[in-house]
Amino acid sequence: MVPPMKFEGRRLLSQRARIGLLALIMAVFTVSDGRDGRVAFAQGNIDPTVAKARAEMNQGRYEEAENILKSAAVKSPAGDSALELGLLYQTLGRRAEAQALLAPIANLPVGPRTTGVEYARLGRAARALGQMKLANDAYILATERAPKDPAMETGFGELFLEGHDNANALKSFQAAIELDENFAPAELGLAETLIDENPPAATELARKALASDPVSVRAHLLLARIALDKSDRDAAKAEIALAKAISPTGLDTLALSGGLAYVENRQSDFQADVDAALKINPHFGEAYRVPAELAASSYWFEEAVALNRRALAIDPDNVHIHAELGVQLLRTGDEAEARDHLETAFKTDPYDRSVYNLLTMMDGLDKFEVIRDGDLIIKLDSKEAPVMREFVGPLAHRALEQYEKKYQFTPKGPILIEMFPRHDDFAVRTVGLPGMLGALGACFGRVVTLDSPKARPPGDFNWEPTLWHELGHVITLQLSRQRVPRWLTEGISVYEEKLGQPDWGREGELTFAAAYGKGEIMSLRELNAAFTDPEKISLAYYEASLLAEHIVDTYGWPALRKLLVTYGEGKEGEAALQEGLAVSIDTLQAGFDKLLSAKYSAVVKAMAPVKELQVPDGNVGNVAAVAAAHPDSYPAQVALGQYLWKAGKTEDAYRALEHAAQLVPMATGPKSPHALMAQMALERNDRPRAITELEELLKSAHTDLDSARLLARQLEQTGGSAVRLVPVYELIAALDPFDAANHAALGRLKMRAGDAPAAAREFRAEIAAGPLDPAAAHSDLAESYIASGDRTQAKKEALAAMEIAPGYPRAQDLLLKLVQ
Amino acid sequence: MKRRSSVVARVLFLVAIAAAAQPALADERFALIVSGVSGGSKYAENQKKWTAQLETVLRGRMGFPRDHIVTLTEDGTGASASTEEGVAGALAALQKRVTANDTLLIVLFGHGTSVGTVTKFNLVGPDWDTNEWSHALAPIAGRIIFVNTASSSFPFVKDLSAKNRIVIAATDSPAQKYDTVFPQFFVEALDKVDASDTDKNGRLSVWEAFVYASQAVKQYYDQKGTLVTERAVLDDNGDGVGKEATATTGTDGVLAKTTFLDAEPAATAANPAAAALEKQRIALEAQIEELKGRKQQMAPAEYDAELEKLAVELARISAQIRSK
Repeated sequence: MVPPMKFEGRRLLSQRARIGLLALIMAVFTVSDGRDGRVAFAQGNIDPTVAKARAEMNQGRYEEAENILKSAAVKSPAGDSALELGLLYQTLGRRAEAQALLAPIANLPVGPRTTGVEYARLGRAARALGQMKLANDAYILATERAPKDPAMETGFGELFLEGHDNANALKSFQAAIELDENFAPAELGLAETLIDENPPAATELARKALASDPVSVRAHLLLARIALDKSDRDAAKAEIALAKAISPTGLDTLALSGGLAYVENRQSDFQADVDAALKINPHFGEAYRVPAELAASSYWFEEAVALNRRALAIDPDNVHIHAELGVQLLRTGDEAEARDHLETAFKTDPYDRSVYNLLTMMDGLDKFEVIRDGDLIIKLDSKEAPVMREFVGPLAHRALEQYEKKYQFTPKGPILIEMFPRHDDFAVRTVGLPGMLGALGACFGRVVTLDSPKARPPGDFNWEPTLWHELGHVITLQLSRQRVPRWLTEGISVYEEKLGQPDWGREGELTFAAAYGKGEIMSLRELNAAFTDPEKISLAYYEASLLAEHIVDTYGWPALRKLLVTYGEGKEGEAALQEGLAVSIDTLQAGFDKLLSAKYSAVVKAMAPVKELQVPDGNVGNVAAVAAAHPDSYPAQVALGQYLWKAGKTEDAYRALEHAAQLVPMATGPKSPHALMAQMALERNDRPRAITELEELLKSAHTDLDSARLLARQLEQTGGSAVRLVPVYELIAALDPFDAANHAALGRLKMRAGDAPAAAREFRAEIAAGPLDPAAAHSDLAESYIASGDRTQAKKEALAAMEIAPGYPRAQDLLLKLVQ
Repeated sequence: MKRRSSVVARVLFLVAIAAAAQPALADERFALIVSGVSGGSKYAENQKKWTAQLETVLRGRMGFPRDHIVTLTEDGTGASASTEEGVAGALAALQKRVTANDTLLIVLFGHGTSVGTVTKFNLVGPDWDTNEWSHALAPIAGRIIFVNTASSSFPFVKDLSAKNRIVIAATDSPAQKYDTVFPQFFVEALDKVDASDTDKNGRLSVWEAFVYASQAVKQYYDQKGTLVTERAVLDDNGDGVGKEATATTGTDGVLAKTTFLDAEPAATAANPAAAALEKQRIALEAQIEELKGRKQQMAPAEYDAELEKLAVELARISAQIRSK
């Protein structure tokens, strides 16, 4: 695919492009800009006729607006009124009339004396007609010719925003605000740009815009969307009501109102809003697209697809709907049709960043290796597939088998799993845009996407619990018909991680305990909203997992399952809790509080900062005194251990650190008690002790690759038993599946343990990862095949070894054994 | 046209095979280890470790006579110091001992610098640039294996390249100025012959040591999750253009594959039957190599069948040899 012209280059537009543009357009007269409503009018920078018309449009009085604009448009067909009337006709679905007015404006040639506002007018017309490159060129010149007019940058920002180019949109809106700090259209544009990234800032900006323009429908709708993102439907309804009060027939208001009705299962209200909107504009695809967007936000991807199809039926040329349908089809796993719609959108608007990213990502995805394994379709990067195919499918099957048994539910397949070696490809596959740095995996119900181990440096994360977690969502989403709230689906998935393997899912525990100690955790009523707050989301995950655990421990697995089914039946919030668990939220909160207190009070107390340690003076005596005064203080005991170690009092140091480890058993990291004791033991050449400490450390640190490798070396050097070595090698294999030597070592242990199929798997992975001694690796694999009874494969491997090393006696003997 | 070129390629390949089958004419093996200025205790510790390990493995498994190994270090004094004088003196002395049929292994541990067209290996005191090394090596009659394991070592390949000489640099660009891990793995290759002798013929060729070290370097960086900042190159055809271990193009490697770091095994038994079997073994191994050279032009099934036939025969002959 040919990449589109980058918008970043806008300020470096070539002279050739400028000349082309200049030749194309003629000088025109009055002002055109990005302003709307009373604010712009009050600032006096706009044609009064247009301002009046916009005020009518803002209130949904389209006929009145048309009447105001018509005569002025006739008088000046290239002027602001003509442009505004063209845009109005477009809004109303009167496309032929819109085209007749907008095309002449977009195609007018310009001259050296063309002003910035004239270029902006041209840009708006071009944008409305879908001529994005022309619009882009026009705004480049508009911002150059009128560098002090915030409306120019604002218009440019809107263009970027439409193309999902948030980075440039942000720059443009900020530039506009720098020119005029009270320029409401720029504030609203900026708010819209920040809506996902920084909802509090977006809220503040929308409120500021409302303060200067209390009848801004756009500001109310923006606040409604922010509220919806926080799952605060009451607040959203209030904002929509305010918007409706200003503009009862406003199309955008009807679309959002209909969307909210749809996700609240108020079908008749939804239909009423759709009907009202289509009465004004029979081609208003947004009437379905916006509800589709809200449905998708609620994880109702099948419904989102259906709604977008209805939208396309009445507005078949709308590129945004094609793009949106493409995105949702990706989430339901229909990649072929998704590509068709995305290609359609791209042909008309090659500047939509999200569409471009998605198609580029899909071009890469086409080269992935596809593994069909029962009801699983696994897509792996072709370079990683030879190694990862050995492990992804088996782990996914193991997880799903356990889940199906536990939840008494067989999810609908096929289940698509895609692993991306580039994190940005994962992010684009998931949300259409790069970024999402904190995310490792995602699940849409039947589609799971995740970072492959190569997406991050080895030891940054463990792909196994990530996949386990996401497959948990497959169950909870499908069992609840995609209606499960975020807190519950995430809570169950993290809880399932912990059940999947004892060392998984615990990385957030200490942070959570600290937050609990500071009273910073969320009440159950606040928990769901915390998942949309970047400051609280990590805590929310762990808290939700504890809540899931509490529900299971208190009410049992059947109750948890029933709760999921209850959500699936359309119950929501506290009503669902009452029906699913037969308990009120307050009772649940009280029980949960008790659990947290029992579980973390001692840890919180132990972790309390010790004032005297804030400025350590290095004097062992003082630290000892402090530790004696605070015998159950974790920092005091750790400090004492470190000081005693430095002073050479090793046995005393061990005692202090052992006590610290008892106080906070989940502590990890290089300064944690077990890590310190391991270092101390190694320093003293006390290998058995070092091994014990490292083993203890790894019980809570399943991503600590360095410690795992250190432990493996220590065990190897002491001729450690397979029982101790296997789990360490397995951890290393999970964290760095491309470590060939580790697979070899693990394979040999599996062979010794008589598990030839498992050994063969490790040797295959070793060969795929690139062993330093390939002939030996093929011979190992041949032996494991012989032990498994697969003589055909064994012979192939023996021959592969001899192809590399014809004189290798081991391979020769194997071959002879196999041909006899 | 296509047919003609493949015939030419085959002839060239057979020439290479014939060359490969010729044992290296190395009567005596000498080594010069130069551990240059370290620039810090961490580096000094590593260099000392590598130097000691290399000395040990050369004397031990590789079978170099003790008095054939000359070591110059940062801490050394007089003729044992890794100074300009120390290096010049050592090479001048070796020049007198190394004959045309001998092999001289030179290994540099330390740091290098490359500014413009001038690339140096850092000695204690004044450094030596590639020209100075080149002049000092020119009079030495035997085959030289020159291994510069330092940063910015790449220009040594071009400037020291010569006939009957193998030049290895730890980096493939003078811009690769970071400390290298290649020396650690090059020494390891000599120490872990069971793994680095990839063709399992019981001997460690320079090529095998180079490939082992190169792959281990890549794995080292992969495991750290960082970009590979060093890629070793080898030149042995005298054209001054190095080749990486994984490169599929370029004619370098023929000399390195037939130059062994370890001692030549004892002569085959005088028993005529055993000698005949040995002859068959060598012929079968050569046929397998020749077959491998034709792999791309053959149908997979045909290749597999032919390989199996030869491999089984070779395995039988080898078993008979081992049983004698």
